[in-house]
Order: sequence, then structure tokens, then C-alpha cells
Amino acid sequence: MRIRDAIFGGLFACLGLFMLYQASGFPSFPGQPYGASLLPSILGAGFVLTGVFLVLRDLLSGQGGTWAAPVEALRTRSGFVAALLVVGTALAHILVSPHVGFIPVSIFCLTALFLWFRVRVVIAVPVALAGTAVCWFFFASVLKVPLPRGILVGIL
Amino acid sequence: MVSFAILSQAAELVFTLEVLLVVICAGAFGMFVGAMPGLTATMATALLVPVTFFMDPIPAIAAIVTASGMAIFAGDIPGALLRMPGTPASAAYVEDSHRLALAGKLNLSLGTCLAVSAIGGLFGVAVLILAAPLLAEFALKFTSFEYFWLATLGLSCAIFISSGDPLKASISLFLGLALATMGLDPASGTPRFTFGSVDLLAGIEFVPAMIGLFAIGEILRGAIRLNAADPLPQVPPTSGPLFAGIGRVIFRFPKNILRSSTLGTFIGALPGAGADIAAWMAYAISKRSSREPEKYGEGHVEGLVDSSAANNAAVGGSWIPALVFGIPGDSITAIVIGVLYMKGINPGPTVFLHTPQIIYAVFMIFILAIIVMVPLGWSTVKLARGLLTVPRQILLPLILTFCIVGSFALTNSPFGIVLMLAIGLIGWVLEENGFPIAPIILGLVLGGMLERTFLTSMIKSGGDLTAFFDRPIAAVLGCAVILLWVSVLVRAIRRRRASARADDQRPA
Repeated sequence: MRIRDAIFGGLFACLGLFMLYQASGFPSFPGQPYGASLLPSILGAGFVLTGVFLVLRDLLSGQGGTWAAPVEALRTRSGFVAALLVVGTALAHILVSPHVGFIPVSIFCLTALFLWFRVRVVIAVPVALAGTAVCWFFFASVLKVPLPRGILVGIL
Repeated sequence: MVSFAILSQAAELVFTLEVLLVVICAGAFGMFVGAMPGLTATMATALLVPVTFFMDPIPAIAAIVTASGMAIFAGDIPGALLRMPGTPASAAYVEDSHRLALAGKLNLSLGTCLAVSAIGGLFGVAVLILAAPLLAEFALKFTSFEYFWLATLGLSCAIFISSGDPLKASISLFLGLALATMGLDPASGTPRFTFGSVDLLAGIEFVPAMIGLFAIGEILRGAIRLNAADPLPQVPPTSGPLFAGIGRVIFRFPKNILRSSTLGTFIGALPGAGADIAAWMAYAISKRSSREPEKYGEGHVEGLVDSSAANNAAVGGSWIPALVFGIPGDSITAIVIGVLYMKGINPGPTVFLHTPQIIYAVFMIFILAIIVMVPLGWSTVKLARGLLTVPRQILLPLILTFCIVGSFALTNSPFGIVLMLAIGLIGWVLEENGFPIAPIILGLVLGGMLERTFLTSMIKSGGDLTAFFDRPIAAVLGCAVILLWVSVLVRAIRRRRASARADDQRPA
């Protein structure tokens, strides 16, 4: 995404105001005028200052241009779907894998990504199976990471 | 002076089967990642961290030292073969090394890079071994005031040295520091910016954040362009002995090697600047002082010698502030400091005092990594044609899965993946719009130290800011920080005036 600096500046200035507001509720150390709020307040003020600078710099430069536009590659169908698939893979591991299990989700996502990147099916499926098996063996069996077993509970 | 007992204890820590195996595997891994165009040395380190999480401290450090050093050399390989630098540190001299390869001198080009990288690397390590213990002794006298200024100096350098746009770099840095404030405040236990989430009480887990910043962004960038990417260009042939004629090159340019190794170590030791800046500066200085500056960029070996020595010397140099003060020299040492904290080792002068064997073990690992680099580098160059044909469409999805599992492993819950994805997407959008990423990770690592030393100093001085300049070293460091900021402001104002004048003179 290409976004104009003025929008970023506005967003960061708002973030700074939000941090200042939140920090005003943090308690001080007993007997001291400052405490947990000191650094967040300084950072909040920093965000407001730099954000406003960024807005001014962009608007005063007089360059104009569109406010927000996707990058060239993202405007193609192939690029857009690839980005969706990458984000979708992470989301699937967050939302689906606790119920279904790591292994089926990983095999499915890897196969989908390979196929979209024009890998032939006869290569995509075995590599997805092997990749998942290596990940499972290395992390779940050797390093004892509790990857979700899902529907395969009792089998693995 | 270091005693024999400490050295033998350190050797016992290093020369075990586990550590030696880790060095070889991490070396091969670093070579592979560095040699793939588009995958950086920082990414190699980031991908290793979930695995090092499960290791003892010494093998964990060994893995990172070896992989990062190898990846920086291996970046030269696709640079010479395809004119695509494997890591940013190889970008300065890619034109020369590729032209040499096209002229049938591929072995001279890569052999020089490998041999000079090893010499530069050893130089950086020698300085690290000599300087770090001395500096640590000095740093033992430091109080919170000196550490506060050191952290501020490190963060300021990160803004001004590594980026063309200080305003955007400042915002990136604030973002990193803001992320570091999330979770329970360590001093008072107040929850900050947790929005009622139990997972966020522990703060932003460093490893998923780092994987998100350095790997997810790269994966997204690669994935959206993958189907439209041109096929890789023809690879020039690689045959014959790799090191033929290298001795002559080294004996022809001993001054260049010494000068650039010194420069690289110094640049590496500066907080915020790493191997890539060292290589660019060494190349520029080499060109300016050369007798044949017109040959640079046309396939001249001199620039190659200078920048290869500088970028590998920077690796050793960047560990000096990391080990002595706990302040990272670049994004790789920022990751290392995060790993050391996870292992319960707080980098700083007290480590030199209480567990010197760990420090000397690190030194030994550095030397070991450079020794391993020569045969591993040799075989990577020989295998390079095969390596470069590993299709990226298979590699990218596998790396993505590895990132996801690695982030999960750090929190043992999907929350790690949530963090990785969220921070990765934000980092990607920011990077696409010219915000540098390295200051975010430096801010995240140094945020805790900055806040702790600032609050301690404020309480000690009763809120009197002049106390920050009372002690001599603190005063020098404080003045250095102020001078740095003033010089940047003056430069910006001058530039603005100059461009306004140019606008006035332009005919309407």
C-alpha cells in the first residue's frame, strides 16, 4: 500500500493523543511526581510532534498525488490473491488450527500457496506433506512445542 | 588479563559435539539464506531464533554468530552470479563482482570476497577481543546516568545514520519504544496499553515481533511479485580452483584491507550502523583514494577487497557495544540481545566480571565461525548453480510455515502468531512507505533499559535534569547526544534554505 505521508502523520498524531490520554491514568510512584506514565507521555508527545511535522511537510511540499493506492504488484489479480493467501495462512493457523489441528491446516495452506504459485500438483502435494511432517517432527517431537493436534488427537 | 582457567572453561563450553554441530548446521543455513536473493542476513538470524530458544546459551549464540557471518559472505554469491545482492551488505560492490564474473573471472571475484571476508572478520574479532574487556572494566563504573545517555546515543545514531529520512526514522523508533511500554510496568506493576488482554500483560513478545518485522514483510513482498517475476538470468560458469590468484590480490592491497577492516569494525561498533553501511563507506573511500577510480563499477577488484573486508569486520565490531553495554550495534545484535535476555544473561560489564567464561566462549565461537566459513563458503560457491535454482515458489510458503510455527513456539499459543501477523503487516505497510524497520526493533529492545535508567536517574536526582550532566562521562555522552541532534537540525535547515534559494532562482 502506498499511503501519503499526511495520512500517516495524522494517524501517528492521533496515536500520540491516545497515548497521552491513557498515560494520564497511570499512577505515579509513591512520593514522586512521576512513574509509569513518564515514558508513555513523552512518546505520546513525540508522536504528536512528529505526526504534525509529517503532515505539514507533505502538504507544504505541494506534490499532491493520490491519498492511498495499492502498490503496482498488488493491483494484479495474481499479486492480490498471493497476499490474501499469505495473510489467510496465518489467520487459518490462528483461528482454525486450534480446532482442526496443525497438520491438516498446514497441508491445506501449503498446497493452496504452491498451486497459486504455479507449482505442479504432483510436486505441490508431496512437498506440502513433507514440509508439514518436517515441521511437526522438529517442533512437536524434538522441541516439544504443543502444536495443536485437533482432529488427530489420539492418533498422534 | 584473562587467566588460563577461564580460557579452559570457555573452551570446555565451546568444544562440545553439540556446539560444533550447531556451528556447522547454522553455517550451512546462513550460507543458504544469504545466497538466496531477497533473503537477508537479518532474516537468517530471525528465522533461527525460535530454534535457539530451546538451546543452552552457548549453542544459541554459536548458531546466531555463525549464521549471520556466513549470510553476509554468502550475499556476495548471487551478487556475482546474477547481479542481485543476496543481502544489503553486498549491494555496494555488486556491479564490480558481476562484471568480473561476466569477464570469466568469477573465481577471482568470489575467491577474493571469501578470503578478504575471512581476514576482515578476523580483524573485527581481534578488536572485539582486545577492546571489549577493557571497555567493560571502564563500564563497571557507569551508573544509570551513563547508561541512559548511552541508550539515547544508540537510538539517536539509529535515527540519523541508518536512514535517509530522520523524521520517518524517529516515528519508527517511537513505535518500537511504544511497543516496549506495553504490558505490566516493571517498576510499579501497572498494566499499560493492555486493553484488558491477559496475553498482553506479559508485554510484546520479542521474537514474534521480530519474525513479523523481518520475515513476514519479505515474504509478502516476494509473494505478491512472484508470479510476475522474470526468470533468473543465465548463471556464468563456475569451474577451476576458487583461490587461484587470490594471494596476489591480497598482497597487492594490504593497505586497503587494513583500512577497510578498521573502518568496518568502527562502523559496526557504532550503534545503529551495520555491515551494509560499512560496505558502502569502504567502497566510497576506496574509490576516492584509489589510483584508478575510473575502473570502479567496471569490474575492478580493489573496491571488492575494501567492501568485503569492511562488511565482515562490522560483524565483530557490532558485538562490542552489545556485549559491553547491552546496546545493539545493528539489527542482528538487537536480536542477539533479545536472545541473551531470554536466556537469563543480561549483557553488560557485569557478565565480564561474574561469568567471563561465557564472554571468552563467544570470542572462540567467532574465530571458529570464521574458520568454518572458508570451507563452507568454498562448497557453497561450488554448489551455487544448484542452490540458485531452488524455486522461490516452493521456498516462500515453507518459510512462511516455519515463521508461523516459530512464533507459536515462543508463546505456546496462537497469540504468538497474532503478534507476528499484526506487527508484520504494520511493518510491511510502513516499509513500503519509506519508514525504516531497524529502529523499531532497536526501540523494542532498548525501550526497557531506557525507561529503567531514566526513571532511576530521575529518582536519584529528585527530578533535577542538570544531574544528568554532573558526572564527567555522563556529561561527555550527553553533550555528544545534543551535538548530534543540533548538527542534524542545522543540516536540515541549511538544506531547506538551499532548496528555497534554488526555487527562487528558477525562472518562473
